[in-house]
Amino acid sequence: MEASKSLPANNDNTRSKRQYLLGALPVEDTTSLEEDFFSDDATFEEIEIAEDDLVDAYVRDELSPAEREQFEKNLLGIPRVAERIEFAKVLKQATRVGSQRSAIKRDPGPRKHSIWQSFIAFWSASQQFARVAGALVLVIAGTSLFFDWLRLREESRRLAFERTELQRQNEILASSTDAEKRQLLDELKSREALNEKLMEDLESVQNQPRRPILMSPIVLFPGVSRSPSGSDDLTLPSRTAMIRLQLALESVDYPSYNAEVRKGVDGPIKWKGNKLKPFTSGSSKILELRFQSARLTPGNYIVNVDGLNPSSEPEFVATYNFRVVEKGD
Amino acid sequence: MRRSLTLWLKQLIASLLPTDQQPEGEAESQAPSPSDSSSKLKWTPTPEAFEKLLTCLSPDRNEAAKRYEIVRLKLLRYFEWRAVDSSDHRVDETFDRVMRRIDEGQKISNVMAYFYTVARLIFMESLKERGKASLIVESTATTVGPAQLESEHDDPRTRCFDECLEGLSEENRKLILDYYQSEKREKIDLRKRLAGELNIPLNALRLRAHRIRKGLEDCVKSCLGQYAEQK
Repeated sequence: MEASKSLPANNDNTRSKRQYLLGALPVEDTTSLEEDFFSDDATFEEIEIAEDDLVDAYVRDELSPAEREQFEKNLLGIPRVAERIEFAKVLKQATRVGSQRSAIKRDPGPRKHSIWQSFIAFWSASQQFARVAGALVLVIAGTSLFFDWLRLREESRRLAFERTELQRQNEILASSTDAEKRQLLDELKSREALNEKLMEDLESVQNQPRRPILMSPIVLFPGVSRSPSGSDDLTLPSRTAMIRLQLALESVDYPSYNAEVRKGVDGPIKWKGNKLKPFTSGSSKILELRFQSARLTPGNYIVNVDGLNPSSEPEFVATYNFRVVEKGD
Repeated sequence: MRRSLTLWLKQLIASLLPTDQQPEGEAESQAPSPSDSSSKLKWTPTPEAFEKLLTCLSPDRNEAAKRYEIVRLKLLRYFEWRAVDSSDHRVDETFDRVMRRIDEGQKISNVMAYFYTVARLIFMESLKERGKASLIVESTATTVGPAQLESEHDDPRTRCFDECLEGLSEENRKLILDYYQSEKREKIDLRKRLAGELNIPLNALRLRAHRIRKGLEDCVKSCLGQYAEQK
């Protein structure tokens, strides 16, 4: 028997069923197969499937010449098989590669509801894509969250450690600060005590009588005045000062002199000095008077000078004039 | 001549019957006797005999009815495949003979084997009419050749096919169209791929496609009947 052109004869069972239908199976095998298909429904169904394949192969011209002859001799005469052949031809048309006529025509959905069907198809595809994408996003997000969680846990541990360390350092600092504070307080107290002492000293110093400053000397000549009022001006300082009046003497006949300062010609004596010794400055002899400025007030003053003779009796020598003006700095 | 044929059939049946149905001394009484063929017209099935047959097929009545249909289909195919003419009539004859034996009190442990034995006997009886059968086959073959089977798209069969295909579920429609789509080598690869997609063995795929096809063929046949009535 010539082999089939293309139908799969996967095993002996399949081949024997084809041969049985084509009337080409040996008598013994035929009997055995018939007993089988009567007692076993599955075997019977296998033979029916073999018949399907043979009918299709016949319609599609896939049988060998020998098989075709056997088919026509044994099966084609059966009205049912003839009917099946008609059916197989329609099925062949419907499933012809490249035709797709039946696939399109037989699907009433797209013809009647093409937009709706397209939408459903698109929606289904979108949903499927969305599900896949959603699952991917979930996996990625989950992984990311897991790593974030690990990172945050590490960070949390690190921060907890740092916080503990900071608390420890804080305690150390607090204790050292207390010590420093106590030290500073002690220092402050000692400084305050020192300050107080210094203030007391200052006060005591301030309370002590202030030594008057020594003013520059004013040189006066007998009976002569260079001021417009005919006397020399003396400006009083703001604070107590020691006034120095240097009287130019015309003769040095006396070893010592008495002097008195009056406000006005007949006014009260503001200061008086006895047995004053002159000193020599160049070719001149100078008698210097020193007294505190507090004794003077603004006004015109005269200075009367008497020489003391060897018997210590005063003899008029000369008169000097000066004027005291307002106090300044 | 008739006597010698009867003896030959008697010996043949005795050799075909299953051993468990041929207890010693009962072979003749259990096996369908040659007289069955000659006396078949004298015996007519009764409701009681039919009930006994169903009980023999299965104690459950529904299951028995299913089994009856299966037996009938197997007998029909058997006679068709063995190119016996008047298959329907041969099937009825087989049922009658078996029913008669059961009604007469025959103990049958394997009823399907018994059906086959009787059917084979009837097949052999038909061998003498082989000449007529061959003539019928030849005459039929000349009228239904592949070249003459081209159908127009608008013929009733195509219309019925389209309607019946629409009646299938989307899954079954896709499967049947995909399964029979390609030709030759492509077909093998395609079917393997289909089985892979459905996650079932190739044999299971073949079975599923066969059952869908069978339903579709029945639908087309019924549709054509209605179409013929309308016409």
